[in-house]
Amino acid sequence: MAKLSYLPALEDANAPLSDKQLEILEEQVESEMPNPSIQSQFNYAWGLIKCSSKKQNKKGIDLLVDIFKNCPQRRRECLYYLSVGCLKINDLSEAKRYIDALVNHEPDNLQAAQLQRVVEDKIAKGKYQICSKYIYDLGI
Amino acid sequence: MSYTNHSNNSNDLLNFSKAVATTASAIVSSPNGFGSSEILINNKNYKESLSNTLKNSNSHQLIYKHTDLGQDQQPGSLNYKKKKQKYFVKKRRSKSFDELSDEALMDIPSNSHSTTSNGTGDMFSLFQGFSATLPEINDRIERIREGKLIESNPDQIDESAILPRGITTHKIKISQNSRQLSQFKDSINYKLDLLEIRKGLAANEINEIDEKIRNLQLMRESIFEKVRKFEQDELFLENQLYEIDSRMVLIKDIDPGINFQLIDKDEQEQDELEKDESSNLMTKSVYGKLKSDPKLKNYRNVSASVPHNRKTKPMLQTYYEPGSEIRSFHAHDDVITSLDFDVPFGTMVTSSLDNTVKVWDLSRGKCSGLLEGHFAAVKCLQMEENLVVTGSLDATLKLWDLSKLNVLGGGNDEEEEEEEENLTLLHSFESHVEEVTALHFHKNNLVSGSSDRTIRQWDLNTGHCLQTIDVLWASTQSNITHSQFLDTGNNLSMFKTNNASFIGALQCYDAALATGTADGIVRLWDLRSGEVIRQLIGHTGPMTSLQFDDKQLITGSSDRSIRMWDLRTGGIIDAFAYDSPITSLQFDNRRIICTNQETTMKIYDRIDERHWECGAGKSRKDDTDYEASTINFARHKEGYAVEGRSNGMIGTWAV
Repeated sequence: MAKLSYLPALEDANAPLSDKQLEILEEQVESEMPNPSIQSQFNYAWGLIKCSSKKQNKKGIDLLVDIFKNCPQRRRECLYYLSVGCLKINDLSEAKRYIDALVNHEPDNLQAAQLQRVVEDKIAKGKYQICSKYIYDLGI
Repeated sequence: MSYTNHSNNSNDLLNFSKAVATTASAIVSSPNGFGSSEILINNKNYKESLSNTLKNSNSHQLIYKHTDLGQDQQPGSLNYKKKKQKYFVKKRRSKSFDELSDEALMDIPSNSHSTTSNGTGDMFSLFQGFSATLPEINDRIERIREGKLIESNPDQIDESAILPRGITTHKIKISQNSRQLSQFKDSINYKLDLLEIRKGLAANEINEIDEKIRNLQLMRESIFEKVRKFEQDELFLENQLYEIDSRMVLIKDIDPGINFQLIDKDEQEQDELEKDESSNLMTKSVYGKLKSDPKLKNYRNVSASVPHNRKTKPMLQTYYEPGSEIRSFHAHDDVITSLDFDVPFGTMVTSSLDNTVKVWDLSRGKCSGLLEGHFAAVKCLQMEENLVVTGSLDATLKLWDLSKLNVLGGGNDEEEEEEEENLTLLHSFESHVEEVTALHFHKNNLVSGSSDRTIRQWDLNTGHCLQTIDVLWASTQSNITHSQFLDTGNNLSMFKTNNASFIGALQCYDAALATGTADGIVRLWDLRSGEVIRQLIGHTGPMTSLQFDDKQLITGSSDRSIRMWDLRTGGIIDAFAYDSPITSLQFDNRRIICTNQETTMKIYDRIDERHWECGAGKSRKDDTDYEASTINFARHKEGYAVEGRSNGMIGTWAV
């Protein structure tokens, strides 16, 4: 069963689904209303995260937060998905918060550690840019 | 650029410039010359000073002002205080998506990766579920494109939809190519794996739902406990109200001068009430012979002037699982012969072969008093509000007022207690010459049946016997002739077959009376003429119990059967039998509950038409050490059943 990785690689989030696929995922959730299964919700949420539109991404994050709240057993993995989602919409602080929480709970999770590195790297880059901008403003 | 802000925070600025300096030195000292973010991150000094700077909220703000990076990017803060900085709060609020609080992030169950409690296989991640679903979605899209998507019929297995695309059962059967076949094999294996993942995930979801149900159950239990507490408090307050009311009556009686006018008014009202009631009776009863006696008014005064109607309604029993035990306690040292109670969790009276009659507080399972006066065991009793009538083997019936027992219950003086006894006992009805085996009272009308083969009708107020009916004589006089019945000799021997009570059960309503006797015949009487108006024949053993309402009559007999009769036509509506002789029976619109000297009560749900049983014999079946006693008698109201057992135990159940 090792064919499918336990958690998605970061690149997976950047490969959007076709509209048709997303539509089917949404239909699935709607058909299960008012109590959609966690899996269907997640499928749709992840489909949204994979989209290229930030608006869709945010909707996906909202759904993931719902799953996190409703399903304690899924919280750990949700942290990972959330972190990826936030990273994608460039909300680094949130991404860091989530991935830090996950790494705290699962220090041995290599994939989580990897994502944490990516996030930290991005933050550092951002800080570096801020700093250089500041230095520039001060005229140093 | 305004520096006024900055100058306020020279300390911060100092920090900041330190950070900048370290940054610069880190970059310069790096072997590559030009600083990349990695070098910066790897440099300890840089990290430290930068994080010091960033952690400081003020310098943080400073930095933020300078940033012109993307709108969505928040400053990469590590620990910033949300509430102190309006700027950030505002920014956060405007965020267009949900986020989790830090507390939520901490609340993560451990061991989420290990197998679940049910041990159903591996745990797959949601993402794996997603990946496993994708091929099917693609498949569906293909099908839609090809216009092949037919609304799937759940009963019919569409084999081609199950197999991976490009493979059909036909192709497998006719294939000559081993490479093609192994390709098929691979893709089917792959699909199998995907299915396994999805199955595991779905199973896992079931476990999660179970977990939720368990949690809800716990929640329900704690709230249930609350309801129980509230109900007990309610009961206590109701009792206090009752106490106050009776106290007020007492004070009024002692000092008539003060409340003279009040009493006058009261009396007037009472007169009117009486008029009302008698006129009601006139219309209700067929002949209106039953006059309301002013003396009975006195007996019932307590309950009439003090509205004993409870303000609140006990309902806790409805939240128990049907068939679950609410309470059981040891009440008597011998067989319990009869019992009755007013409301669920209210007051109960029990009688036993140990010659005592006890009054109980059902909500606490505590004895609140004894009804002493009979010289022998009480065989039957009935309770109505505060009035109790008991029929004993000493051939007498006694009328008790439970409210007197309550009022003077606190008296410690022995003399007082004696007085209390006298007060509690309102009347003794002494005309029968042999044991009283059945009784029933309705309004002021008490009817009793005895082993002396007579039925007596009494006036509850005066204690006078109004009429005596010799059952055998009246039966032979009856117009309704029956071959079996005319043969009196045979008849008598039938009555004497076993130790069963001659009159096993009776119930009256105004002038109507129904009796069940040892010959197995149900007789319907007219009390005004004292004649039998109808006989219902069917039971083959002594009658032990009966009850009727406006439409039907239900009887139970030693012949193990329960029969339901239509009062209008006299025909049998329904009948069923159990394994042992019926000893007691009571029905309401919802269910018939009877006892048959087994360890469980037999319940017939009339709405669902379902038979089930309830009792220690069932609930503790697995407990080998526990020997359940047989149940002799049961009464129920509003889904709350009380049963009395042969070993003197009382059990209360939700049904």
